[in-house]
Amino acid sequence: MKIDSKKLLVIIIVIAIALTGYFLVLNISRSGKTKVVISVAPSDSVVYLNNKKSKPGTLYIAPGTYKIKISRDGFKSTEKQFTSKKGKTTNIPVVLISNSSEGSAYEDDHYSEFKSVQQKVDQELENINNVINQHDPLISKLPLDVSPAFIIDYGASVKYPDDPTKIAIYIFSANPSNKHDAISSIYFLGYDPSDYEIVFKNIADTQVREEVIGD
Amino acid sequence: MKNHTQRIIFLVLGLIALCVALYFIFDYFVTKKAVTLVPDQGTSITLSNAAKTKKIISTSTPKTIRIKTGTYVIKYSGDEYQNLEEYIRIEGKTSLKTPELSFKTEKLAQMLRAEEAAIHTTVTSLVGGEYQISAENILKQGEWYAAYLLPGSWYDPATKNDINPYSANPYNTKDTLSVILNKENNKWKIAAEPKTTFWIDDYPNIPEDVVRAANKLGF
Repeated sequence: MKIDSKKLLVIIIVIAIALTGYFLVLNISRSGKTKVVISVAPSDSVVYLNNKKSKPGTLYIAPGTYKIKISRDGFKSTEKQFTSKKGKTTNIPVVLISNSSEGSAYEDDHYSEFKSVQQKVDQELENINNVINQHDPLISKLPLDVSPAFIIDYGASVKYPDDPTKIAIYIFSANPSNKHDAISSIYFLGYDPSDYEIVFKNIADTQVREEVIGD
Repeated sequence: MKNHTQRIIFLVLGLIALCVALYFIFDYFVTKKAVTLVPDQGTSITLSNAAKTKKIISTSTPKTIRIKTGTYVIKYSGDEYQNLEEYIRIEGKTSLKTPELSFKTEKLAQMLRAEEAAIHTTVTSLVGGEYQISAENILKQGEWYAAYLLPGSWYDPATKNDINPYSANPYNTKDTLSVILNKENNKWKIAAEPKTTFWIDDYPNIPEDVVRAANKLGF
């Protein structure tokens, strides 16, 4: 087959320019934006991002806090808030819960679809736990109950009682010397007490201990 | 025909070279960010990669460079000051100015000796004779002071330490305390009232390293 070299050259040039243009436009349009992956079961649910209709899949949006609403006939709608951060991919897996026989039937017929998104939900929860433990690794070492003189545990913040993500370190001790020893233990574990809201309680105050520690 | 094929090859290669050049221009202007380093007089700023295996720049005069987004190590240093090294994340146009560095330990010790009387008067006005200063330091550039206070009954004047540091005394009824003072208009003022331990969050007006140093004094 004889190929017209001029035509071939034109085709190659057009393809190269188109590809370069495509990648340039793609990179410029994504520049300064963050990747958000929305996985939803049922996959044909309607997604609203800040009240603007969107769809499940990968989106590139400006960093910031967004409200996402997901709904579908036969299922209970869900709404949540998320913050997309620059340079980080935000995964939002959502499994809607059926509230009708039609929804249940859909769920049965699309078992693998629901299972796949549920796995992503579980993975995301595990990631959140890991982040909390990395951010506040001292918590994973508590309660510290190695001495009869003091117990170190964690509980609700006194300064921020309405914020469940804020925690305080509770030191239950018998006397001031034990308080000092308990703080010394925090240093010994490799943490700086300056980073924590520390609440001192009397070790004999069993009611407070039950409220904080739960036993 | 041969010439024609050669021309095509040259054109295609030229086009590829143009695409590569375009990519690098794009990469330079979009993925590399401008970082301006502004060292204070008498200090220098050194920027290295996160693993500290490659020095990118070290300067004692203001300079702007373009570097890829990522994590770097920045070191501030100066003849009179203690080095300060920290990790930074570059994600956009950034300006890095020398923060307030701490004076070297010997200079701070000298300043403490000169200020001791005025400082102790302020501390005593707070706790009276019930507490004794067990450990103290002047911090930063001499404008911060932290002390660790022991109740009189715990205090051993000979060692300036706990009378029995290895055993908790059940009869102790008073907490050990720390206090932070700040020098303003040539006067020492209380920045953080005496407390067993300070939480950084409670003291937004006190530098973090001062709070950490104050807490650490008794341990």
